[in-house]
This record gives sequence, C-alpha cells and structure tokens, in this order.
Amino acid sequence: MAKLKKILSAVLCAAMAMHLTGCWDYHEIEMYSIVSGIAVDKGQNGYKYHVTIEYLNISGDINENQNKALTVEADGDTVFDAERESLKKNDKKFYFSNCKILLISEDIAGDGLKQLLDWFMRDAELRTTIEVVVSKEKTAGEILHAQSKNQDPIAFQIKNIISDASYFDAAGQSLQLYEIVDILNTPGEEVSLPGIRLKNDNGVTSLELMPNAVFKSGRLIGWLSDEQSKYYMFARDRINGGIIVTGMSPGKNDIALEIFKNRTYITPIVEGSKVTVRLDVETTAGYAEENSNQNYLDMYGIAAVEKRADATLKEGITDVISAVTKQYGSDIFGFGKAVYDKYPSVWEKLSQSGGNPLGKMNFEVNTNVKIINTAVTSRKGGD
Amino acid sequence: MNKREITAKQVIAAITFFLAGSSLVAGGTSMAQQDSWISIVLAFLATIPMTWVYSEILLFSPKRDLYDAAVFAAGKPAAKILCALYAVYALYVGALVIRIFSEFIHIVNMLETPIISITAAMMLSCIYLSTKRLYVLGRVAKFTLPFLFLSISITIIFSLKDMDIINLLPVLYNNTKPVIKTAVVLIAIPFGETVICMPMFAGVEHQEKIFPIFFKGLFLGFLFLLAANLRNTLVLGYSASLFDFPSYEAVSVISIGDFFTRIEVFIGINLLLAGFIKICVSIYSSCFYLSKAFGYDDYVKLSAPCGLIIITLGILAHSNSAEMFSWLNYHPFYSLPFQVVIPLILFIIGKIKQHSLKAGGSAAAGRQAAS
Amino acid sequence: MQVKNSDDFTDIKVPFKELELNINYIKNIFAGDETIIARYVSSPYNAKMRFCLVYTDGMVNNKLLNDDVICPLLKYRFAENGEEDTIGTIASNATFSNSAEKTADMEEITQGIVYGDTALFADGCQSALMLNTKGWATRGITEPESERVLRGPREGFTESILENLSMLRRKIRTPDLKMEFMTFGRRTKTKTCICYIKSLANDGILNELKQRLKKVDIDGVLDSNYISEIIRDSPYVPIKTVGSTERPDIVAAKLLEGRIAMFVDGSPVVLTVPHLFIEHFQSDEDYYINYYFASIGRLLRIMAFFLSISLPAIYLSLVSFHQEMLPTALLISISSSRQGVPFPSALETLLMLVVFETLREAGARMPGIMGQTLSIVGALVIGQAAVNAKLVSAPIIIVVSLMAICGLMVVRLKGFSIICRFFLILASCVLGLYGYLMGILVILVLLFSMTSFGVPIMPDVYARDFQDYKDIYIRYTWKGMIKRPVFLSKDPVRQSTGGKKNG
Repeated sequence: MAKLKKILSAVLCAAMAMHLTGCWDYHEIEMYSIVSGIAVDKGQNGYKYHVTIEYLNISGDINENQNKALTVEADGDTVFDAERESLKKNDKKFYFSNCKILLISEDIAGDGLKQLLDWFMRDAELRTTIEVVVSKEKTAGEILHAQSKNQDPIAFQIKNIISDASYFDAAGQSLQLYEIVDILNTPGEEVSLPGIRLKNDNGVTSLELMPNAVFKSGRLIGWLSDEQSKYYMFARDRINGGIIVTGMSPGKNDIALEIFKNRTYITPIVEGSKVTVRLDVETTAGYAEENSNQNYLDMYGIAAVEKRADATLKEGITDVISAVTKQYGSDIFGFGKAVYDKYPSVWEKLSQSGGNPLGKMNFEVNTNVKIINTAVTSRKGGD
Repeated sequence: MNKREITAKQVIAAITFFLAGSSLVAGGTSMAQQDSWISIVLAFLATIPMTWVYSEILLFSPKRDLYDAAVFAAGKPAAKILCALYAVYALYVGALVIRIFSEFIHIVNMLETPIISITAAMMLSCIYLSTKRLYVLGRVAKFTLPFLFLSISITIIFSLKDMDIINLLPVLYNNTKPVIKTAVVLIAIPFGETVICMPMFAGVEHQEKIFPIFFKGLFLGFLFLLAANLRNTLVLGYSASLFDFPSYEAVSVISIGDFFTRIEVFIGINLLLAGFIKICVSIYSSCFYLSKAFGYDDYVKLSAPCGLIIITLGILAHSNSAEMFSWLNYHPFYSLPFQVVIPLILFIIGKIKQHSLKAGGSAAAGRQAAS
Repeated sequence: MQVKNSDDFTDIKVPFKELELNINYIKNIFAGDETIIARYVSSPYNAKMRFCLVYTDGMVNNKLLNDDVICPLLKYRFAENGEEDTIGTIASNATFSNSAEKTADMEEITQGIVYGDTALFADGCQSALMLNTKGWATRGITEPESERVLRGPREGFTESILENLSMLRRKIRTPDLKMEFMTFGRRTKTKTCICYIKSLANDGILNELKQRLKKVDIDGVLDSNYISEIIRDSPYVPIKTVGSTERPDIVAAKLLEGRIAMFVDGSPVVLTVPHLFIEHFQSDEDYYINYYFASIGRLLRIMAFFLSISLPAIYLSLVSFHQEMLPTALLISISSSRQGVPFPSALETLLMLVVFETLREAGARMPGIMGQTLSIVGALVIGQAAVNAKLVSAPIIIVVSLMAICGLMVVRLKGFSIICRFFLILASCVLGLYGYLMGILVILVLLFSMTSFGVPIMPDVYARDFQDYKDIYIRYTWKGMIKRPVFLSKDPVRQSTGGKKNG
C-alpha cells in the first residue's frame, strides 16, 4: 500500500510537472528580424495607415558588414494591423525592442499624435525610449528607403544625428516616447518634434536634421525656422552645446562662441492679474572664432563681447517667443506648465477665459553669457 | 512547533519584503498622479496606530500567540471562527499577489506562456520555502533584503539624470479627494495587510517588544515604497500613472552610456523576490490560522494544500488584468473589516477584560490581606 | 575450541598454560595467513624458559625486534626454578621495548599482531606480553597536491594516524588538547581519533558527534569519507556538511575556532565539524597573506562560484527569452553568429557543458603525460573547429570557458556547482530569468535550511554585528578579529587586547 502510494504520488508529480515543460516563450534569437525603425504614413486604398519597417539583414558571415538594412511596407487600419500585415512579406517575426526611431509623415502628424502613439506605448516589446521624428519628405517611408552614402540602417543614422545634435548644433532635438506622452497629458505644454529630410548632393544621399515642428493639442500646425528652432532650445533649456554667433555691431555676425554649458530658469511671477514669465539664461561659453580683421578682444574687452552675446541671445529668444505666440498660439515652451505648477488657480483662470493663454502672459528674458576662455590663443594671430 | 525560531531582525526583514512586494504595481496610486507620494505618507501614518493595536492584541497572550490572544478576548468558539476567517483572508491576499506577479511576467515578458504555468512555477518554489518552516523564511528574507535595497538605490542613482523635480508640481491642487481615496486604497494594500504578519510573532523571543519590530518593518517597507514611487513620478511624470507597472517602465528609461541600458528585467526579478516572500508569509499565515482553527499541531503540513488553494483562487478571482486592477480600488471595502474592525473590537474587549482581571486580582489580594 | 566468527573474539581469554597449545590456537585463528610468524626462543641459561614471539611479517621493525626484544631475552638470567610471573619479569627486566603490556585478552592480542605489535607468549603463562615493534614503510611528509599554498607551512598529513596526531600536537602544545581514540569497521578495525580543545569546543556539538559515532556500524573504513557520509547532516544533499583537509595548519586553526577534528588511520584526510558553507571559500592562505589581498581573493572566489553556476543559465535566458535586455550591437553580433547553427541555444548550452565536464573528468583521471594531448585536442575540437563548422556558436564557447575558469577557482564546490548549473539551466529554459530567480531561490532556501551538527551552515544566520562578519566575506586583520565565530565555541573571545599583551 505504501509502495502504491509512492508510485501514485510520483506519477502525480510528473503529471503536474508537465505544466512546466512548455518553454513557450523560448525564441531563438536568429529567428527574429531586428527592427531598427518604423515610418508611418497615410494609408492607400482606403486603409488608415501605411507602415514602413526597416529591419537588419543579418548574415552568418562574421567578416561581412552586419548592418545592412532592408525595408518592408504594408497597409492597415491600425498600426498594429499594418505591422502584422507586413509579416506576410517577411520570413521572420519582427522584433521591436531595438527599434530606435519612429518617423511620422506630416499629414499623420497633422491628424494627431495621441491615437497614433497608443500602440507604441501599450506594446511591451517596444521601448518607451524610442525617438519620434517628423518627416519633411512627402512620405516618411521614402526616408527609410533611401540609399545613403554609408551602409548603416537609416534609423540608426537618424538616432546618431539626433543624439549628436544637442551637443554640436544647438538645434533640432527630439523627444522620447514617454516624454511625449507626458507632455500630451500635461496642461500648459505642447509637443515640438524635429524634422528630418533627405539631401541630395551630387548624387549622394544623406540625411539632414531640420528645425522643430510645432504641435498644438498633439496636431502638427507648422514649423519653426532654423534660427527659431535654436533659440527655442534655449528657452526650453535643452542646450548641451553648440555655438552662439554674434557680432560687435548689429547685422554683422563675425564672432562665434562655443557653448559649454547652458541653464535656463523659468520663473512665473504673478502680480494681481498680470502674469509674467521670467527666463534667466545662464550660459558658459568659450571664445571660439573671430572672423574679422580687427582684434575685438583688445579693442572692446571680453565684457563687451559678453554683452553683445547677451543681446543677441535675448533678441533671439524674445523673437521666437513672440513669433510662436502670434503665429501658432501653441505653448511649446511649457510656460503654461510652469505657471500651473506654481500657481494652479492662476493658470486655471488663464486657460479657461478662452483665447490663447500664451498671449496673456508677459515675458522677461534675462541672459547672462560668460566667456571662460579664449581657446588656445589669447591674442590674435598676426599681431 | 518550535517556538522562538525566528529573530526580531528576520521578522523586520519579512515585513519589509511584505510591503515592498506590492510596489511593483501602481494599483490605486494612479488616481492621485503626482501627489501619490503624499498618499503613501498618509497611509503609512494611518497604519502606525493600527500596528500598535495589533501588537497590543498579541500581548494579551503570554506566548504571543494570536489564537491564544483571541481566546482570551473573545472566547474559544469565536477565536476559532476568527482564525478561519483570517485564514481565508490570508489565502486571498496570497492569491492576489501571485496573480499580480504572474500577470506582470505574462504581460511584460512571457506573452505566450499560460498564466497557470507561471503561477505553478512560482508556487512550487514558494511551497518549497514554506515546507522548510518559518525560520528559513526569516533567514532568506534577512539575507536578501540588502540586495533589494541595493537594487533600488542603484536604479535611483542611475535615473537621477532623467529625473525632473517639476514632475511633482503642483502639490495638492484640486486633488485632495483623489489623494485621500488613494491613501485609503494604500491602507488596504499593502500597509494594512501587515495584519497577516501577526502570526510570525509567535516564533519570536518573548523578551522582544512587538511594536518596535512591527514599526521598523513597516517603516523600512514604507521607505522602499516611497522611494520607488518618487523615482517613478520623477522620471516618468504623468506617464507613471498610465502604466500598470510603473517601476518597470521607469527603470527601462535608464541608459548610462550605450551599454548599461535595459536593466529592467533585473528589477523585475528583484521585485519578484519580494513577491515570493509575501506569498510565503501569506501561506504561513493561512497555515497557522487553519491549524489553530481546526486544532492541528503542525502547520507545515498544511502549506502545500494552502499553496494549491492560493493558485486556484488566484486564477479564478479575476478574468483579466484590467478587471483586477480596477478591483484593487474596491479592495478596501473587503479588507478593512479584517484590518481595522475586527482587530479594534478584539483590542477593546481584551483591554476591558484585562482591566477587570487586574481589578479583580487586586480586589482578591485586598480581601486576602484583610482576612 | 571453535572460533566463533573471524572477527569476534570479545571476552575470550588466552585459553591454555602450555605454549604450543596457545601458539596452535593463534595459528588456527590466522589459518591461511602465512605472514604470521611464530618464533620460538628459549633461554640459554634455563631450558625451561621457553617463549614464542608472534608477529606479522612486514609490519614489524626487524632491527627493533632483534635488538630490543630477542637479544635481552636471551641474555637475561631467569631464576632457576622458574619465575613466579614470567611475563611480568620480562616486562620489567628483560626487554628494552618502550611499550610492553601484559594482557590475556584474545581480542587485544590479535589486534596487536595485525597492527605490527609482537605478542610474546611464555610457557606456563596464561597471558601474553604485547610489545610495540611497529615499523612499516610510510610515505614521507609532503605538501598535499590538492591544497597547495604559495605562502605558509608545506607539510601535509600522511596515512599514519600517529604521525598525523604528532603533527597536530606540535602545533598546539596545550594539555587542553584532547584526543580520544575509537575503532571503526567490523573487519578493518580502523583507528580513529577525535581531537578538540576542551575549553573551546562546544559541548553540544561534541556530544552530538559522539552520539552519531556510536551509531556507526560499518564493514570497513578505508578513508575518512566512509565515516563522514554516515554521520553527516542531510546526507542526500550535495553540499558538504563535514569539512575535510590534508593540512595540519588548517586543522589547528579550526580547533582554535572551537571546531572538532577527526583523524582516521590510513587516510591523510582529516574531518572537521561543524562545517559551514563559507568554509568552501576560505583558504588557509587567507590568513598568511595581507588581509586586503585575502579579502579580495575571498570575494573573488564567492563571485566565481556564483558565476560558475549562473553564467550558462543567464546567457540562455538572455538569448532565448529576454532579447530586449541585450544592447543592440551585442544582439546583432550574437544573432549573426547563431545564423546557421543547427541546434537550439538550450541544447547547444547543455551539449557544451557535457563536453566540458567530460574533458575535465578525463583530465583528472589521466596520467600526466597524456594531459597535454587532451588539452590540445579539447581546445581544437570545442574551440575553433566547432565554431568554424557551425556546430556551435562562438558566444557559447566564451560563456562555457568563462564558467569553467570560474568553476576551477572553487574546486571544493565542484560537485554542487555542476548540479546547480544544470538545475538553473533547466529552470531558465522554462521561464527565462524569472525561472532562474526561482532556481536561485530554491538553492538559497536549501542552503539556509541546512545545519551541520546543529549549526546552520550559512553564517549570515547567526551573524549579529560587524564582528561576526569579520571572517566571512572578508578577512579582517588579526588585530580586529576579537571573537571566534559564534555558535561554535564555548569561549567566544579570541583575544581581548587586540593582539597585544597588556603591560
């Protein structure tokens, strides 16, 4: 009897252990196509979306360049639907965890981000750190199709351009998916995403980062200019590097300052019914180039150059704020949020009384450029 | 049953794990959005007196045995019924935890694996731990607690550069009602659930004071929850309240250089560890209550059946994760009787009895002296 | 007289007064054993005085026997009428031997003879004299192969229990050091000795050990493992709960910590109890070199053990379950090296592990000269050729070799880590890293639930403050290690003055 009991319990244990032999989620790594980027366009033939997927073409030969990319396209009523549709055209399952870039066309961006981004946010495989960029070509897909001068996947190139941008260009910075969702759900703040386009120089195609697009309530309504985009970054406190071009006399841009560090403090001030937003821009820069026949440093001294740079910066920032306020009425600077964070009731009044809350605010821009070195020469060559 | 099989520090570790086990899930905190940390603080403050009540109840019994305390306060039949009720409650808490954790694994990493398999694998190791008696649970908890704190500190340090203090603003604007509501939900899960930890004290040295142990465990768990919550809100902002598993998402944002990225699964397994301990405490509690209610000598033999009941309950309780998460908001109505009402009644009756006994005793002494 | 059982002479006395009858009786006992020599001697001065020396050929020192026993015996002038107590007279007057014991116990006599003593029978005496003439070839004292150190004493135990005890005695010269002999093995009659320092050893552990030893009933004891397997805790778990070493310095150090040692004759391996898990990672050299290096070494060993059981499982989980955790560049390179490999990753990993274990086992049992061939063939086959032939992918070779190197750092846990490794791989095949965590948890629970002679084998269980951690994961300076490990010793204070004498 005891033996029977033992045998029975062993059989039972084995039967229960069957539950654990599945290895259901066991997937071999080589059975995946690794997706590097996705582009979403308006669909054709009555479908809502047209999705282009760029994926890596990995061969077993170690000596070969591994980073060759292929693309596949499909239509669907939702993004996920289109993605599954595209699987029919590929022999392996797509793997999205390494997808770096989401490219959206202008018309899709005009329809609104909220509906589009849901799948990207909801799906567990996609990461929330994916960068979102707006295509300035006719369709977003053709950017992924481009044969660029180096062989790397387009999505990886875009990713590199974007991450370099904040250090060298002081322009065009993207937002990651979770940041966009955060902004979309925050009162008093709007999304602004960089654009990208193809450039054809003597038959060689390359990518070019464009100034930021302006969104309102998640819909694309216009674009900033190059200059505006740069000063927008100052106002947004997203500067990590780049240069300020200024000159000793107005209209003459012959001095380049290299930005080492920048910090912009946004402080809302409420006095009665008057709302003022103060921007304090603290910039540390180096004297990088002086493209003139004179010797400004000797002539005017560093303090004067700093003052000129202050003025240039102030003018630029003030310009972009007023331009955006007038033209788009979209609070891509997040000033509304700054007010809301500190004086929620004031913000409530501002936003409820109708009209453009940005227009009801006053702005005060204080800039303070500090030159801490003059690179390797302190005197001008030839003197 | 071997008394005094667990030390005070081990109990503290177990209670901390018990609380930290829930931090994986936002649960009710999504309503309060950026103010959810205030809810956590409120819930913590509100739980302190309750734990004092729990400790006082345990002190009714010289053996620190909950059953004896209940017998003292309410009589034997009532104590048996209470034990049976609490056994059901402990089983349900265990079921909820195992469901949440297997749901988490299922959604985030293992879409094709049936939930029952994940649950069964987890329960297998939990039952193994439970059959090794309470002291092993305490030792494992104490040994692994530093790793839990290490991992959360590392994630906080690494995500410092992604944090934005502005995400916490504005504080308490138009938002007091959700904050209070969230606090109530948080009292029900996980703070009030510490009522389940009460049977563990039967194994602690009798000289040890109960309330300080309870409080230390509660405080450490609170620190853990608060730190995790603040990290999530500071990193993710509004999105923190959007995700079902915000800790996981907040950590997935971390990227140091190009290599030190994607460490969220490590956080997943770390939190899973807390889940394990929590389930094991629930199993232990239900075994303890059941053995008391039905008069068994040894609780250990009950752990496998209790574990199986928890699996079944976990699977049957909710049909999908969305339903489960919305149910968490109604959880207080179900659990407050266990966490507040019954302990309070026990406490009051017990105190009155104690008082009258003392008065009776001194009266008797007085009579003796007179004669 | 019928001999009851070949190895059971308890309570049988020397039966006869006549010399020949006794010798015949002895010869009858050892019938078929031609190494038993009976040498008749009679005194030249008194023909009545006849003796017989019985000994085992090869077990005695011939020179000793000739010079110290036979020579004085022949020269001694016995009383004319015969002695009253011949054996007593010989013991006190007519032998140079340092140990001469009179006995009538047949058990003792046969034991003595087979252990190199000489039994001296005299005509007319119903007893025998046991003379210590032991002398057989033993191995010299060398450094143990398996426990080499760069710095520290280089002597190791030999197969002779008395020599081993003397080595220990030389290190601990206190009357507090107790040595209790016992005999095990119904047929081998192996001598064993329990050593402890009375004022340090924990009485509970000592009693527990004696209790368990009392219950031992075994046919033969050829090595200390015969006994340790019988007396150990959790006999079916592949973790040692009884320590073993071949080095006298280690035994001395453990005795000083309050542990108890057990010597077994015929084996250079000495057992120590209780044995904690952390002792697998402690080396005697830790205490002979600078404590910073010692601590680093110890931490490295712990890490190596962890890696050696985890690496294949973690690799497998990452590659087959959690690809999202791999950085893009790594993902691409692993993916490309796996293109065209016919086996799934799990099978590949298991295969490589089996190959590795085979190579290791082959290397361990192989004569030294052939080892070279093995390593060349092994490296060629599982290295370059297998990758080029696309039988296995390159990353798995790296993982397995790394694991192997880590495993070699903690050789003492070899068996346990092999089992853990396969267990964890199976666990991660089911649920990836989550399965791995569950596996680790099961191992942790196992470790924490185990005891060795009543002491939990995980030191964290009883560590209460920093003092208790000073010799666990790191090796603190001798100055700071004021206390012995708790739980082990009666007298917890090692040195109260920080290593310096007062005054």
